[in-house]
Amino acid sequence: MNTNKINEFDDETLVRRVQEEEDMYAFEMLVKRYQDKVYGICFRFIGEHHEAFDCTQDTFVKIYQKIHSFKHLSSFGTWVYRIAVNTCKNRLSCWDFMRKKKTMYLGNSGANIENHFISPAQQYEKTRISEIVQNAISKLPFDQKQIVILRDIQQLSYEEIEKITNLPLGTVKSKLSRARSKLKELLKDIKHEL
Amino acid sequence: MNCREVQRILSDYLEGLVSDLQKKEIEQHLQMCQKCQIELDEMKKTVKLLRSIPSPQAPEKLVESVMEKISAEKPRKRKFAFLLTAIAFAEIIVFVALFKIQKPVQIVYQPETHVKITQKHQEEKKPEIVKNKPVSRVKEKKNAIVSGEKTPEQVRTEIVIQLAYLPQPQMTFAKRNSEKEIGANVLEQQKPAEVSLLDQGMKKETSVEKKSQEIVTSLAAKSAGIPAPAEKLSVESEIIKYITDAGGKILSASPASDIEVSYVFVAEIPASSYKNFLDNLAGKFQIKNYDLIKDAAVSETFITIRLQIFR
Repeated sequence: MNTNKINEFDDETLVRRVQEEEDMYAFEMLVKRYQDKVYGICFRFIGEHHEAFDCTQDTFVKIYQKIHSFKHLSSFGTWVYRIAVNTCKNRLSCWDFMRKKKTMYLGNSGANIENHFISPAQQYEKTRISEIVQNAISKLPFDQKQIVILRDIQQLSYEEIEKITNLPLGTVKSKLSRARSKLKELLKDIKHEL
Repeated sequence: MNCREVQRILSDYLEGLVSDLQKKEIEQHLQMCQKCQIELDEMKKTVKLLRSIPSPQAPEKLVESVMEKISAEKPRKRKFAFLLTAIAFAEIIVFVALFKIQKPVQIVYQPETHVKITQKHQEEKKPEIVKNKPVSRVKEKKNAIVSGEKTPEQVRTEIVIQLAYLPQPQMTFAKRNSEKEIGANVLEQQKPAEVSLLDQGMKKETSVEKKSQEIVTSLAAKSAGIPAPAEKLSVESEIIKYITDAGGKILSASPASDIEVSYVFVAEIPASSYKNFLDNLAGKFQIKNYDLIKDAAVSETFITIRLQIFR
């Protein structure tokens, strides 16, 4: 399949090519298309790049393994995010991760965003703010954390969040409200700096 | 709306998820309440901050790493699947082999051995002649077939003929006496211990008279000194004659210790001469269910008959 052509195809076409022909090139295109989103979710959940990398990798391996069970009832993106969230959830509850977390260096949580900034001073400031926000998010319980990450950071719609989390809209709204109230308190100091 | 109620739905208000009425009430409250106004500003800043954080880009090697991991797991999976298939196949072979070994041994019918089997079977089943048995019946013994091919020789039919001797007015006293004498002479000359012709008669091609004498001798020996009635001896002789005349072979001949049946013959008769044989028998004996026996459909070349002579 031509590289330029494959990039023009929508998710459904690529997924069907993987399902029917085990087209690895089509799957690679899907990975490329969703890698940043999935990595972003994983990083916000885990709070550490190496763990987020492994988590993202596991997510895509699971996606490949389960792609034949995808029935095209929802969008492929929603399905991908759901797998990513569940993979993160499993990793967070994993005993090995809990042990690692104690020694985890949070100083690198704002890394890999250097391309967005021009001056080193601005880059440092953004990195610092990002670390503080990440630290605040990591203090939330998982059910609130996932809503905040999906809604305020990944900026997904409420409908998508409902499908990803399997929670009704009312629950999503109330959890988001509580999460924001907590974050408001946790980020009080930094907000004044902005 | 009070402050608590407003602050509870402040997040929804920011998202525009409240009804028009709620929106109006919140806005009215915010105009009056500075505390809630500050809360709203704080909430707005928090959401703005969260949304302003740049999302980290995935490392460049991520795609390559994912594809490598998938390709590494694929052959392993296939290898595992192949291994499972191989194990399953081996299990099937072992199961089939065991099943074949445990399968009960089936006897393939062979005409040469069938005679012996029938004889043995008959000896074992001697006392089975019961009063209430049907007068005549046609039994089909279907031998086990291993080869799968069904040949006419492999299906044996045994016809049970029950007959009673009709007193023959033409048989003179002198003739009976002469038969008695013959029987007595033979008894004096030979002392055989066996009753049946299993070992003697089948191997040798003897004449009708010789066979008749052997039967008489063996019967006499069986009775151990007690002279056998002349009529009975002549009946057996006559039956032997009919069988041999029809081109048949006597498989066994033995007296029966039954109240009704005195003697039992088992013989093989060519199917072509079966009806003539029955007609000849019917001339001298009363055959029960004669018509039924005569019309019995027989497919093989030789018919095994079991003649039961009633007293």
